[in-house]
Amino acid sequence: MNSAPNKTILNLYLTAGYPDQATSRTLLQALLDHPEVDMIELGMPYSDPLADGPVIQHASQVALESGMTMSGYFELLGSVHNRRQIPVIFMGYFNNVLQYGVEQFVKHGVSCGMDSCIIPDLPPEVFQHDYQSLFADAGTGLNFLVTPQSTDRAIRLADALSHRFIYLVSAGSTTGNTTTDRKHLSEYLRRIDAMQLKSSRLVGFGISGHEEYRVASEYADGVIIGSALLRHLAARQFDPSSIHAFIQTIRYDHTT
Amino acid sequence: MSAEGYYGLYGGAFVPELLRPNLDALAHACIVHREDLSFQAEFSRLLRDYCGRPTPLWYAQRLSAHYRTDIWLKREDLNHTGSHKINNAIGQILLAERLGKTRIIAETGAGQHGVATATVAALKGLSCTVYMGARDIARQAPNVARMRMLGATVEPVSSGSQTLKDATNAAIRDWINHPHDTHYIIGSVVGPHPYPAMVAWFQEVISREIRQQFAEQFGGGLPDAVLACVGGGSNAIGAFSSFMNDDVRLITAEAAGHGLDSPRTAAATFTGRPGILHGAKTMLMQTPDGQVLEAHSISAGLDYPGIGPQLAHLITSGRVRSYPVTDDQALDAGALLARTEGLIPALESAHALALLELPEVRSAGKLVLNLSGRGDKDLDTYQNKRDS
Repeated sequence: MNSAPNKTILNLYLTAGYPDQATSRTLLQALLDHPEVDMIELGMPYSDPLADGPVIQHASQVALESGMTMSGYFELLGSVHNRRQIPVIFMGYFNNVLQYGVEQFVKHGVSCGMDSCIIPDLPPEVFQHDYQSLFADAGTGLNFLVTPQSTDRAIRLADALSHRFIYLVSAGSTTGNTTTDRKHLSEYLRRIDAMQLKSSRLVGFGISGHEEYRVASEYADGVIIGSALLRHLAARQFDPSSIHAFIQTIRYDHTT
Repeated sequence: MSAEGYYGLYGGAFVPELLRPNLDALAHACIVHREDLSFQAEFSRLLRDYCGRPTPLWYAQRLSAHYRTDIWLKREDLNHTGSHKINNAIGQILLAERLGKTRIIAETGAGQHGVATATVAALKGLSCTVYMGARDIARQAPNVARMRMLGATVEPVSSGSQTLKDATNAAIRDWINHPHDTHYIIGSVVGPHPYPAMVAWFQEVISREIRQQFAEQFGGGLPDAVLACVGGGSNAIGAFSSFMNDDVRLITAEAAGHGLDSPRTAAATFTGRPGILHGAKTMLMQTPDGQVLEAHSISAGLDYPGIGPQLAHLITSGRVRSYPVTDDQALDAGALLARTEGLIPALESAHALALLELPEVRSAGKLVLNLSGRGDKDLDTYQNKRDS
């Protein structure tokens, strides 16, 4: 196994409770233990995930049917062993957080080992106005999305507010779109690169293979992969030992 | 409404960054064209010469005699395509044109908004895709056939409850995936800012006409109460907006489905609590964890677990009084109107008609009821229920 340090950050996404609670825990533990995984995004399933494509929509529906709840999410997070102390990021929609109670969410999340959050439908201005100090006081925060259509002003604000990284959405699309245009992607990443932002830049939405990974590593700090991993796992009966092969296909060029 | 689209606690734009540039452009277009005389002239001309406005205000003599009160019906059912939905579709297609969009998408529940959107897209020669829950496609077959004849693609949505909520999700995702060429014509006063305000703008013609027609028939004066059904709430906001600051009671019927004590309901302000749906903070039917519940109503147009944010504000603040109306009450009220006035109402509008059974509503005085749509599309449902 190639465990040499690789400077491109690899952030892998799982939906909590998918395909069921026990398997989900095993998969999460396998990611935590894999030396080439640098960060994990753990999704809280939502009934109406607007930013997600069919793969994560389906995973969310299955996870909710398997009984995943906000309490179940934190139980899962608290029950695994994060021996390498890698950041685990909450990804979820604002209504779940709002109903749980934002203050309670922050407190409980941090105590279970949550590093920071991605809440795609919580606008930066609302966060700044209503919640920023609540998150900051607990030593956590949000990571904001920017897209190729975002204005420079929106990108600067996302950069200023983000806790661990800014999330560069690779194209105007929901998650899991496999038709990412590499030329546009590199133009977009170069534009962001030229802005000299303070935050790490992770590229996500539509990163499904080594080619997008390569473009992303050239102009950004890392990638986030969700739908492609879920598709890979679903095709292999959610076998945790298949994760290693997936990471190899992403990290290394297999065409030569 | 505030600059960010808040009505009291409700409203806002809780959307991923992916939608922001489009929403900002749309909000800007609303501000510009609201004051633009050529826009207003074209909007008025289409409403008059294409839709058939103004729609009549009809004194319902036999219905009034039945209930021993005075009832006027605002005949939105006489609009081209059979409901008030065309007002908004016309307004939005004109905005889409000015924004340079070439592709139109929409969600639909009962199919009335889908038909209205397919109609205006055909009128302007733009391509059109309508998202519709698979369950609604089955129960509103005539409208599906109309949309197809008008050249629209009807895209079945099989996720979740397979109704209006999921059709709306699918349309929003389509817009995220086609940010440049596409305009999303939302059908009600729901969704992120500027949609609730924009749709209210295009529907306010209803109450402007009521006000004028009522004054003409009485030589002045206002109705004592205005009644409307509420799913998202576009016909209610349209019928109410000119009376907001007057001493006129504003009354809504929410679809209670099998009843408020049953999970098969759609009465969001009675069984819900504040939450976020389709980018707006509003009253919402949800689990303790914030998962959105499936709504149920016999009327596909009211089958929605939320309500427009402005109505959430007006109802929770007491300006608008809302009552729950069950499936059976609506069916009875629809049957009564058919036999007393020779008008078959849409099942949505039948919910408003059922309010007349309530003594406290009847005793309000001179009542104007917004007959938002005609019932041809619902004949199977009326028939099946009578036979069962």
